[in-house]
Amino acid sequence: MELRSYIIRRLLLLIPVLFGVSMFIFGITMLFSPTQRATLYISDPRQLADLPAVIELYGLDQPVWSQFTTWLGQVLSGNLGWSKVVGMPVWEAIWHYLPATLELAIFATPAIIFLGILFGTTAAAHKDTLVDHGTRVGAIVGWSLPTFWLGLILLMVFYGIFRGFLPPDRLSVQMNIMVNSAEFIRYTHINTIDAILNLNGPVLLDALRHLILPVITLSVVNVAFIMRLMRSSMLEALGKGYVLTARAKGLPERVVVNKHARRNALIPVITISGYLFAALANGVVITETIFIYKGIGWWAWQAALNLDIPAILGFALFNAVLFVLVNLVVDILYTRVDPRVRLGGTVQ
Amino acid sequence: MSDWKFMARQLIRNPLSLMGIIIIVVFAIIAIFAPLIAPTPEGHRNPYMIPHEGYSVTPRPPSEEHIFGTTQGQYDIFYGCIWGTRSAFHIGLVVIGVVLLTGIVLGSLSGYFGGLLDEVIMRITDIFLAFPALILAMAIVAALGPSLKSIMIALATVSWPSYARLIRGDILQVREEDYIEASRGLGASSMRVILRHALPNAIYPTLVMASLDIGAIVLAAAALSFLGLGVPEGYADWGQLVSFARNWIVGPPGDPLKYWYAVTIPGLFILFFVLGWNLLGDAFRDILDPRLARR
Amino acid sequence: MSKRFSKMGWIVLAALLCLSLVLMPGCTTEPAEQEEEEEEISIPFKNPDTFIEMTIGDAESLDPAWGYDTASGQQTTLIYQTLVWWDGETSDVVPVLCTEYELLPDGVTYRFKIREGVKFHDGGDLTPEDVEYSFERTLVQDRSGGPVWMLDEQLLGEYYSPDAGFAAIDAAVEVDGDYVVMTLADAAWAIPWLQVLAGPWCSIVDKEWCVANGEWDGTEATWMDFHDPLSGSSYLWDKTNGTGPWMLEYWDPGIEISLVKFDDYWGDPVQFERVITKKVEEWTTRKLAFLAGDCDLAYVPLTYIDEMEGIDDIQLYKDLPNLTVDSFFMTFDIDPASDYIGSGALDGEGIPTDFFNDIDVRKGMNYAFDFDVYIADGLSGEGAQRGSPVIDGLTYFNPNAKMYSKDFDKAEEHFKAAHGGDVWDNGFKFTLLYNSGNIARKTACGILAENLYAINPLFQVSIQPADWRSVMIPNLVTSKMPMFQIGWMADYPDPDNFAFPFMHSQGTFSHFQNYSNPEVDALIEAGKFELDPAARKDIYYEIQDWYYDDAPGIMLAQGFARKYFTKYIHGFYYNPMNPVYFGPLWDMTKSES
Repeated sequence: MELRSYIIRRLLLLIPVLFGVSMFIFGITMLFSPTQRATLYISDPRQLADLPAVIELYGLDQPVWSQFTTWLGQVLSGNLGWSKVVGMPVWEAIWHYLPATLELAIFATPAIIFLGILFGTTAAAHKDTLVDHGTRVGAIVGWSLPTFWLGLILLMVFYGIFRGFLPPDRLSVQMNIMVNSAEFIRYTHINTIDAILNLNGPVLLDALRHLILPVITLSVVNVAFIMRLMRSSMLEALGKGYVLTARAKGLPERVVVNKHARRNALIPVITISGYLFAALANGVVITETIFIYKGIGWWAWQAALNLDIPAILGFALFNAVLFVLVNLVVDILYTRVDPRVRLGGTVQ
Repeated sequence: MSDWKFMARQLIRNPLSLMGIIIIVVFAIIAIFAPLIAPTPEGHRNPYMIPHEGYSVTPRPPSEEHIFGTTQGQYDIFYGCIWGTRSAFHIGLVVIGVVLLTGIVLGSLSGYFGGLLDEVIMRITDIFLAFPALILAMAIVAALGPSLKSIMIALATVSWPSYARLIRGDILQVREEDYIEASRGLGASSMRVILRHALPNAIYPTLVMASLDIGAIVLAAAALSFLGLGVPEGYADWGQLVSFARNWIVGPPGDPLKYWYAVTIPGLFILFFVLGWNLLGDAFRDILDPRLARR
Repeated sequence: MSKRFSKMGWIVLAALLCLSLVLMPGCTTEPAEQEEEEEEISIPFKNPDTFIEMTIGDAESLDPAWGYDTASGQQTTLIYQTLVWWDGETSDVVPVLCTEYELLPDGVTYRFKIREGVKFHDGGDLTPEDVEYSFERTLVQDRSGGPVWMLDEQLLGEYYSPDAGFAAIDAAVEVDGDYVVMTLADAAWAIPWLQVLAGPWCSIVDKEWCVANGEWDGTEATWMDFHDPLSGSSYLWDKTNGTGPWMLEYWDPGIEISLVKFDDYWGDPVQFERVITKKVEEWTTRKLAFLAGDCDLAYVPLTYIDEMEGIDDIQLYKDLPNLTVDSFFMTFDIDPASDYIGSGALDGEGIPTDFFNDIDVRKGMNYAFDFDVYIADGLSGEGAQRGSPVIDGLTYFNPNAKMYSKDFDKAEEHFKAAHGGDVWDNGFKFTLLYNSGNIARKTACGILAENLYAINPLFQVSIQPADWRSVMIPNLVTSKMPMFQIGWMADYPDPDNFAFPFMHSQGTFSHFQNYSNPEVDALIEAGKFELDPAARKDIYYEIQDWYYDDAPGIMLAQGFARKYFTKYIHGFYYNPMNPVYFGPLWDMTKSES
């Protein structure tokens, strides 16, 4: 199937997906009574007496279909609603909180994938030796560590014991003032990229310094997945006929592993990598909370906790778009990596 | 018969797989004999609720009375870890089991048959993946009431899409293999091809993810419980014990690791549980796969 | 054989290594504990001229007429100003944006002379028209769930401004040359009105700036368009223009808000160039930041106050009386659809909907509760038991008011008499909910449940954490919870502000309880409007006794606050009515000495 038409077809399918997502979520949120949904607007017990007025004001007791069509109409005209938890339109909230998460995802994903593939390949190539066992157990230990434990221990050591060496937050107070001032233009709100675009060295260094701990936390925890997958599929690949042939031909082991086996072992890794990036772009609340690196994960969590329905819907739509795009990329990569994989057709 | 004997011998020969078996068996024994190992005190109504002496918030270090110490709220860590083994098996196995089954079925169908079926199933997974997990959990609890069952349903609903995707990806690759073609050429039905040929060769990454996920499920269940969406606070569950310790990970400035026992001990239980399942998974894989390079 | 052994050996070695890495910290705490006394934790001096607070809340809105939560009040108080402000640590007021005020002999008319030479951040001048507009705008907005009911009640005699009509709103506050004249609805409000005036909801905004930016133009024609607006729709939601010493630099919702010094401030110069309030929910991160000197004040939850002991560079203010009180309410008429009453009958498997109607049940509950343990463990010692909603710090607080204390014998006595003996013989079952994460409330539930079980094993109360929004509030407002805990925080330091919501049948909390006692209602209404201080005192003393005698709930405790500053901050003093958590920052300084 021709690649271009495949891509277009997949992108067109985005529309029913988005529709399905919104209907599904809207339906689920309607499981909450008007009173429950009205509590979003109550921050203090003194306000409880006014709950009925709040329900009426926001039309929370209107029939479900009416609320859905109202919302749908707004969305189609570009208005995703108002996110109460952060006091700004949903659309704006996504733009506002995404950069922090993207910054983490941009640095963490390559680290995780690279290390995962490296460790996995090494473990597979040296199966049943100390290296293999060590990396396997090490990866599992990393994975089993609760994220918050690792994050807090890192903070304790590198921020507490080493006297503020690697601090939490995105920037130091001084750099934050600089970034918010008129002399600095925030093109993307991703501090590292902006610093490069503004040719501002100190901000770049400061941003990098603040990135180290959260990225390490995310990496240690997630490397295990990629590593284990890589190992297992490498083992499979190394058992294949062509590997035997390559070895018989006298090729060095390194070439056998890197050039022949690895490529074919990548399929499940690609799947998970796609999922990983999407998951990271979704934001990891715990990391964001501990390191005061608040992004879209934090926002989505607050929205859910507070039953901020517009925000939840908006976030879900954003997510749907993200996953569809990521899955599209993943599927295309399948064909690049393993030419035998055909998309769209069925088994012959 | 000899096939099984051969497999069993392989299993035992490999030290790591042996370790995996031993770990899981030890946990199973702990779970079964929990009432003997950590007897429920007199007059305590629900054995799954960890007993606590008083309400003081600060954890206390291991002592004669509480061999693993107590965590925030004076819950006995030893009791919690022992009875928590039961919860871990319960929550972990049920959720992962359901999720594996669903994922495998849907993923295989999707990957093997392709076409419209593939599109539909994949779009359904997109919808589920886009869904914020917490809201789903809250909605399920709003409908069913807070309980262990509700959070298990919530976790299962949220987790299955990634498994379906993983299996599908592998099946996409595997279905191009020669032996699949050969099998079909011989007239095998699709069901037979999937079950006997495609799936066993594609399933391993999914098993890896499942074995790693068990620990995550336990922790996620605890997080939901703390929001009031699951079991009450103080339920014997490793994840809850770890969560109780969250604010004690870093102790007073002069003695930062003072409350190490509150998080390390339940954490180790989780770690070894996950390790055990992983090693076990590896072991079966090493034995079952006839194509694996043997030295 | 040997090959396998060496393999095994390596495995074992590796496993041991991993294990030891994890357990080693445990072993190293032994020697560390001995050296604890000699550890010197020093907090570095950073960010001079900047005040940084790390706390767990964030402002909801910067619109003074909107914000009812303290986080919003904190920012509004720094950015805007009011006609009067609290005098030091007392509940008296002194002029700020006015220069003098007087109450006319008719007892309901106030005249405020407006200060001259005051500039708004945007450059405008303060005029009496701005003051008139500020109050009218607030009365017009009167959003649902907002603070304006206080102004409605005291200026208009209604709870809802549309009920009074625009003419009344217009007439309540008028300009007279350099003066602004306010007319109260009743002479009883003479003192409370001054207290309300000091609240952030009475901040003064610039009329020209508001109108120019699309806010209400001040005329009758458009006023209903701006009444009860949707959340976020007013221009002042996140844009400010006040007369205060600081102005808004930027607001990153949920993350931080930064204020920067206003150079043309009319009053005494303030030291701090910048005031940053950061929202950091994770306690450990807050703690580490505080000890690293990256903030000047960190909010320390009661649970962790022990950890902060013995550090020289911390400056602690404690035993600060909060004007808040928590109570364990009993519902008199539970909704039969409740999930928490078991079988709904007094058969040992539940409770009937009128269970708490019986005074013996209520007294039994009070005697079953252990107040000392609650305060020691639930509040980490930071509280004092109170006998009624009229607490210390409000006028007419009775320090000798009768209070309950744990007495299992009396409890047994009352339970045996309750519901004709059926309670004792059959027992009961119901569920207590507490908002998840709240340790004090969880402890209170635990104490009650376990004590009841100890008194009679047939008394089986189960406890459940519940999400505040999706579970607690809906069940609360529909009277489905047999018992619930909730607290009140002072709007203004008058006993009526507490007595009404707790005990009057129309009060917020008693309404949810379905508590209605005509004698108490009459008493509270009399107290509200009584002008003679001696008579008023008698009434409020009687009200406090009523709470003990009628026991509609288990009155818990008034909390004490603690504030943890670094030693570099000077000049803090406490006023419970000041919404700014770190105190009167305009009078405070930061220096290394």
